[in-house]
Amino acid sequence: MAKVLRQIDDEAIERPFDKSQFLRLLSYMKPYKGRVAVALALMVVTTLCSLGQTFLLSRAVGLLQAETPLVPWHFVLGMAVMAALIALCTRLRVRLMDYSGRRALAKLRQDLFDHIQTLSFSFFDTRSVGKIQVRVINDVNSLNDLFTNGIVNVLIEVFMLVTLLVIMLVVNWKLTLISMCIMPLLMLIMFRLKRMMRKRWQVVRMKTSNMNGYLHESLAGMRVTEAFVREDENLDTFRNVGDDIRSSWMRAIHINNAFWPALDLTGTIGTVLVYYFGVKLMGDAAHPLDLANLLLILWYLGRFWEPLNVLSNFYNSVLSAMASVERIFEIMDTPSDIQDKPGAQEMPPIEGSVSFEDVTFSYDPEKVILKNVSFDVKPGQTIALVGPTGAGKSTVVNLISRFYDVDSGAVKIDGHDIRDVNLRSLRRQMSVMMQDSFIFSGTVMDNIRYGKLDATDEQVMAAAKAVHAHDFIMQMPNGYQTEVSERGSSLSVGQRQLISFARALLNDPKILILDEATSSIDTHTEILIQKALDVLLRGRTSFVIAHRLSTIRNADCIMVVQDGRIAEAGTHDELIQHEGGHYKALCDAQYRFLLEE
Amino acid sequence: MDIVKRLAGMLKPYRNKVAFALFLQLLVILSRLLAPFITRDIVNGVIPSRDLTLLVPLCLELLALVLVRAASNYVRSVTLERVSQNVTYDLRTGLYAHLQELPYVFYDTHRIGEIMSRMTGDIEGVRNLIAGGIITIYDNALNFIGALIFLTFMSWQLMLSLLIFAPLIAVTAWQFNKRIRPAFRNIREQNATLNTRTQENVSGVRVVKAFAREDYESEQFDKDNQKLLNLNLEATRIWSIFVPLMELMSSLCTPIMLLVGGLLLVNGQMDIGTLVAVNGYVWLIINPMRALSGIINMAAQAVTSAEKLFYYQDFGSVIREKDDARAPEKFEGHVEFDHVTFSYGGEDILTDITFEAKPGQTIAVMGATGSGKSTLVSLIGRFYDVKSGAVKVDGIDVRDQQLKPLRSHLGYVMQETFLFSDTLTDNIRFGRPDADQAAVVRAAQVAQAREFIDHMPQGYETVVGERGMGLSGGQKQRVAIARAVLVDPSILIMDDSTSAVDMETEYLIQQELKDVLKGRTTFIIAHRISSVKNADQILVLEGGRIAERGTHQQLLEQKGIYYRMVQDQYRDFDRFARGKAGEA
Repeated sequence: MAKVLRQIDDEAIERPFDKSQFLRLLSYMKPYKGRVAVALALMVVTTLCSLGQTFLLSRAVGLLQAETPLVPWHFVLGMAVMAALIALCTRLRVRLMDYSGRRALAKLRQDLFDHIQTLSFSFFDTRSVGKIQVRVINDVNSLNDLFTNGIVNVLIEVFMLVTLLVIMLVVNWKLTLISMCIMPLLMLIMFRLKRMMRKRWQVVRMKTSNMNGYLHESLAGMRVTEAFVREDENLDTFRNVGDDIRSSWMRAIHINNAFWPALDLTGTIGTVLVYYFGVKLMGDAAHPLDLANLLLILWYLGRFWEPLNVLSNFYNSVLSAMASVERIFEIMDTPSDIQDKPGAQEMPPIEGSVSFEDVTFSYDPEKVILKNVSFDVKPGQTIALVGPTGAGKSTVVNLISRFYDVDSGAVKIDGHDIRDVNLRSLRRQMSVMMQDSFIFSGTVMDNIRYGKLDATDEQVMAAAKAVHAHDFIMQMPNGYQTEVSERGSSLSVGQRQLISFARALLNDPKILILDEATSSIDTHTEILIQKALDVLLRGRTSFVIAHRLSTIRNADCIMVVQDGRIAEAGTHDELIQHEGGHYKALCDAQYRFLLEE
Repeated sequence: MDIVKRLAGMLKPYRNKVAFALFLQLLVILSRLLAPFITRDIVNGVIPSRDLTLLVPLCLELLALVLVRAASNYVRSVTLERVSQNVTYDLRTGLYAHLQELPYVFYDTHRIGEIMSRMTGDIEGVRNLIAGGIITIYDNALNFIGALIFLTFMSWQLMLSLLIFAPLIAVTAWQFNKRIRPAFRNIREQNATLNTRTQENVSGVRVVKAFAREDYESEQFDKDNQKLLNLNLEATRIWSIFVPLMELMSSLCTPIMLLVGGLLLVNGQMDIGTLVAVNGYVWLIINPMRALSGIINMAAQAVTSAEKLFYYQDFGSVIREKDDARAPEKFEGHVEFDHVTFSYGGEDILTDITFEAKPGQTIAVMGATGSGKSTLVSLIGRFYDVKSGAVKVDGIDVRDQQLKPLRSHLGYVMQETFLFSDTLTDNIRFGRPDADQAAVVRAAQVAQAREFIDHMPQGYETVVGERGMGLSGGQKQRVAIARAVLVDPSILIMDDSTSAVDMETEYLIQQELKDVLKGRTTFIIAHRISSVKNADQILVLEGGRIAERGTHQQLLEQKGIYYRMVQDQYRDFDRFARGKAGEA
């Protein structure tokens, strides 16, 4: 961490407006267009009332200013009624828009999540969990403002601007035109200044997220830092990062905090203009002006900045929304490269014969992983796959459950090419267990039941007993109801594996695929696992990426995978005879390690 | 109160600036309060006579006021922002430096997410209070009081009529805040739930797909998604009850004022100019009422945040160097445990551990999960302190030693491998940032990491760690071994550090280490008999005590725990070897 952090978040903060994507996003609002129309109507009422209040106030002043002033009862009443109307309409409008916008977003989020479920491993291989998470949660959330307020508000603010201008022009066009002198200034503040503000805050956000990234990692690795005595260097880095944030923050503040004073200044200039020319116009016979109208123009002028502000914010929020929209649709437009053929049949109950026919496969075209692999496995056999890391053992098993599709050749189960059958019906009859047994947040019971969702508690416990997981589960604070989680889990590697065994057993698969953990399991648990394996492998076709001697030894067939080919296959006794063979060399290496003094 | 004092203490270095800012704000408020007087004079004096010569000075006054106001406002806000940024910086770097001093116990008992939210959210809370909070409180209070005074000058009747109405707004705002806060908290929590659900769904995608549980996952997500929707709608419901109501009450102030003012005017107790001018004060009185509950809330939150931050500051580094701490003349790797008992959370983890490791020896530690193996080795670098007894390195109790020299002579490969999001080179030379590339490659060679690193597209420049390229468990462990080897330690600790490495590679690593670590003391924790059988001394822990000790041969003869472990592990192997023998 000596180097100051690179910008890891390569994600765009803004995107130019893209009409087709915007329309596609809007289509999520379609079911609610009735509600949106009502909301718009309510907002028109609100706007008119709000302008009306000011109008009435100016008329009241006119009444009071007369030679014989009258108490402006009806104007007071009118203003009160308008205030009440505004409150009522606002309340209804907010509910309507929120109802529509939030629902549309929930739908968008669900669609996104559902689509992710259909994607194949090649999608997940190339993206970090964090990035996918950000799409589903943050990117969708960030559209909220646009959906519930943005679009409708913009229409209304335009309406408001026009109405304001029309009333002012009708009241006194000359003074109105003069007062419009402040518009260029106002526009400058609203659009230029705000644009600069936006850019500078973006820098701050970027730096802050860099700092958080550094901090998070630094905390996670604090033990290593302390053990390797790197505290001073880290503090220096952190100071630099802090300096960086501080100066970028101040840069943003210098612009940001000019906004209100500038607005204040502009407003007062407008006020002075209206007073000066207003008083002048009062004597003008052609355009007579009274106090009431002068005040009306003054007050209305003071309301110009607000709609402009909304418009400029909207512009900014559209730009940042476009970035989110693009990321969301990018995922939704990613096709799943593993799909059921049209009219694919359900996989009939599996007997358990598996055959590879001349299978060639590569993750990326440059590097072929498996070359013309062929083999046949009879129902109920246990196959041990051995060979050096990266030789293609995992690939072989990944192809059996069709996590990837072969480039050429075919994988067949009971004679069916697995590409011709319904994918889920195929996978439901298999179980795959990886080295790092995944544990979901939830109870132990739920975790085992994941293998068969409608299993009773008794069935879950029976499965746990069968794989010798029952005893340690019962020793946990709440037994089967103990909450466990993927991170910060109190389970040891071995215990996690036993739980995933129980999960697989409950599923009662016809074909079992297992990547054995290498070690880090204490002897006691190790023995339990070996016993559990005996139960698990019984009567099913099994493929085991084997590290344990007992598994290798007991397998019906050992396949040595090397350089993308099956270099040797046979039982232990057969292969060990083969002087100069890969398997023999492998055994000799282990033998030397275990027994050498 | 203590907390407020400490918060104020953080501001102390900047008190002149704060005072300056408060003074400027006073100017802002005064100019705000004076403006309506000018309005009154214009309406009363200029308009009836239409005398432009009277108007011009008034307009100039208005412009002068706004210039003062705008300038003071700008300078004030920038000044305070700078102060708040400086305070934040001090607080953050101070805390970070402190966190680096904290012992492992702290990290055992505090989750990273929690520390992160202290370092981000809570610091932000304090910053908010300083940058905005102080001024908001001051501003609202002075505006309110000032407006009341000035309004009284103009018309005490109007003042009274507004004052009766204003508290109603404050009460409504209070009620709103009380109800909306829990609603927002629920939303935050539900967002977190949804986040976790997504995270697990993606991390566990292999399990999901293997069991074909996509539909189930969608259903579960839908439930949480709907719940979030409903919580959001609930918050809107609360908002839509209170906020329009507050708006209504606020905007009713104008007609009330108009009514009272109108009555007064008709009775000849008020002039039209005053009535128009008073309009300018209405918001100065209403706004503080609306802001009141928000301010109290912000201040309360800042205090809570500060409290949490101070808790960290006060979390004393239990492990402190003594003032007269020294360092051994020469680090040779002599380690001695003298009747060491260690307890954690009131429970004895290690009891009465005594052994000696001479320079160059290899000590193996075995035992079931939770028997205290990792704790034992972490005492050597004084990452925890013993309860009784003493751990001595090169003849000096580690508690009497300077920490940094002691630790920099350790090569520590931890059970949980952690790599930083940096290049492989920088990860390997983490403990010796000035090491050259040749040394890095050599260390990688010893750890059998060289081959896979060479195969990576960017070789040693590949960025790994959480934000870089994913390495397999075995690869990570090998990088961690290289990192420890490069330090050229006098004591090497390998805590279950080859668990994810296959047996052949482990063998090669051991062969290489033999040469490199000649004359250095090595501690190995492992489960495989094959990894420990060549050690000079094997310690078998059970329930925190040394149950057996000796060499492989001696322990076999004892026919105890170790013997049984050997039998269990070699049972398979015997059959395996017999197959081999049959062929010979």
